[in-house]
Amino acid sequence: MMGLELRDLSKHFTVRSDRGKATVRAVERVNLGIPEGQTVALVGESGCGKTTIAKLVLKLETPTSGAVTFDGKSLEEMSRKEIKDYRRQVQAVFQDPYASLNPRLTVRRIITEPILAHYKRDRATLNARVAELLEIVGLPPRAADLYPHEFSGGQRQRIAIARALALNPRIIILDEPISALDVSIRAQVLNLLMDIQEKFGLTYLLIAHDLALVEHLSTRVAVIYLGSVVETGESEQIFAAPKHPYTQALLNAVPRPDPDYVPKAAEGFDDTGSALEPPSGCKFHLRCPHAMAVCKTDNPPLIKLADGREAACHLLSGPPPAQV
Amino acid sequence: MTVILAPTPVTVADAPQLPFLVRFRLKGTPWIPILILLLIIVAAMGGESIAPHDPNGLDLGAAFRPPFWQAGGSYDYLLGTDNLGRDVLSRIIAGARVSAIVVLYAIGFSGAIGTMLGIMAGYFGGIVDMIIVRITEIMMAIPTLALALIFTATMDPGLSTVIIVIVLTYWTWYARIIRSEILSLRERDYVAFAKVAGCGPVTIFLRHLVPNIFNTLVVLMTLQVGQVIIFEASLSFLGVGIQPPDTSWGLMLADARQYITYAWWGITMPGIAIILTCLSSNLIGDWLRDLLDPKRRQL
Repeated sequence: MMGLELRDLSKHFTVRSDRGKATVRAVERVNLGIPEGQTVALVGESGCGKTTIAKLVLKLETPTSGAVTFDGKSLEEMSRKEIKDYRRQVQAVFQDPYASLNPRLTVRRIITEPILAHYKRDRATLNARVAELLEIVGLPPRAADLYPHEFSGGQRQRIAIARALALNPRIIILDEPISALDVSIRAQVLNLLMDIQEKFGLTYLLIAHDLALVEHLSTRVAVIYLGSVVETGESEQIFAAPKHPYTQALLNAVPRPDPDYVPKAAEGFDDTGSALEPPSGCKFHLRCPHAMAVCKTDNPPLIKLADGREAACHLLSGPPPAQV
Repeated sequence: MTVILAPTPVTVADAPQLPFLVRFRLKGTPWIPILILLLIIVAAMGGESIAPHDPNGLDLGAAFRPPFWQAGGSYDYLLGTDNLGRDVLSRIIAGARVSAIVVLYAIGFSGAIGTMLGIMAGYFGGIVDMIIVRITEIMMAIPTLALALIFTATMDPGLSTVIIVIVLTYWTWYARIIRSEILSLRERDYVAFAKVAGCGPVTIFLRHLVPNIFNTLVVLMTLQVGQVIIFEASLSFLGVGIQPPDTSWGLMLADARQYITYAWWGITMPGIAIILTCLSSNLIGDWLRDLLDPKRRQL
């Protein structure tokens, strides 16, 4: 398969405490394809392992088992040259535009950094490229000689986007690209992201907890709960009719501009599972309104449903056992 | 949804489009501290040759002359004379050299060693970090003066012993502070991005880590100027530092202490020299820090 793919990807962290070592299963056996030209969104609450997946894809972390593959080849098996090539094709935009730009470099040096890491270019070529990239992201050419602190959050995120585009990548990992921004400028940055995707035929891996953004931007969605995919499929399908109880709960939790609306799943929803000591069986059963006896013992596999999507829930597999 | 990419009105704060060097604001330049430090440097370099008298020239007949503005003082001895009739001004000028040498070597070596070890500990982490942190903790547990006394007992007291003791004491400062700086810098998003962009460790190190510890280093070093001078003074005061007939500001303080009640100038004048030097170096350090920080530079 072309493009990015996550194969049985797991990442465990060892934490030391007074009571000895413990293992955090941040990412647990995730299988996910990221088809070319699409926007695949990873959604889930904070701490569910979304950002760890992004780090694994960016090779900032190494997987405990499984692999991230690019054009069929595992990142772990790549030679230095192949890694360099991979880095040229996969870029990233991070959440906090205040932390992702080095305060001591001018915008010009920030944007040219990825280019100079791969190619030798003379100054005129670089300057022309910087001007071109700034224009694409909607910043004036003279922004090139300013420092990051002279820009607002939205403008900084534009700079980060220009930097991510500098190498003409195929794939951009967007880790919460607009959640640190003011509500008033989110739409602008979102439009910019959609515009450049169309213009350059980019593939996006979007990490987000903001479901409105996900619905807007993504073509495919993978819902993550405590490190595992619980439901994945076409964005429209999932938003129209979520099958997994967790997805249903997530969608119900989205605030609605209606003062009389009372969220349905609000009650009995406090028994959070932890990635440190994941519950037995289905990890979601402690919070699940439909929990059955089997949920406490067996972890449901991800099964393909009739409409092509996949979900991991005992309610959806075979004849439902007797309710408890 | 329709994709609108309206050329959003982007306002960028007006920044002076001046060459880098001119952008250094001249207004905030601390001219007086720079002048004072220059004077001290000239004194340190000129030493005995620019002193009005021989700094070690004994003249018991001229002992305890007050400074020129006080009754009994003369323009011959501008800042008075000490108990042996030596000219205080000449001795301050001669002592400036010793103090300058101690400051330069001590700060240079302790800064270099401490920064290097701090960077290594922070950057590599793991066992390297553990070893370096343990060594700094051991060094910090040893009382400085005890260390100085051990050194002078085993080596000749003098300039080089003073420098060695100060370096051994102060490098832990740099190591600890730089280590924690690097630890936090290493986790910044722009470092992660530099890796994603394909930069090698050397580039990341030189472009993203080192420039960002500059502020800290400048502040630490300029703060240390005062401390080193005073530390040298206390070593000399205890007799384990600079040995007569050489002189330093600290030794002058020690010598003049017992006559403080009737010859205040003997201890006050070198004291003022120390204060001015510390103050100047701290003010210049603050200014340098602002100068090196793009966030403050253009304001």
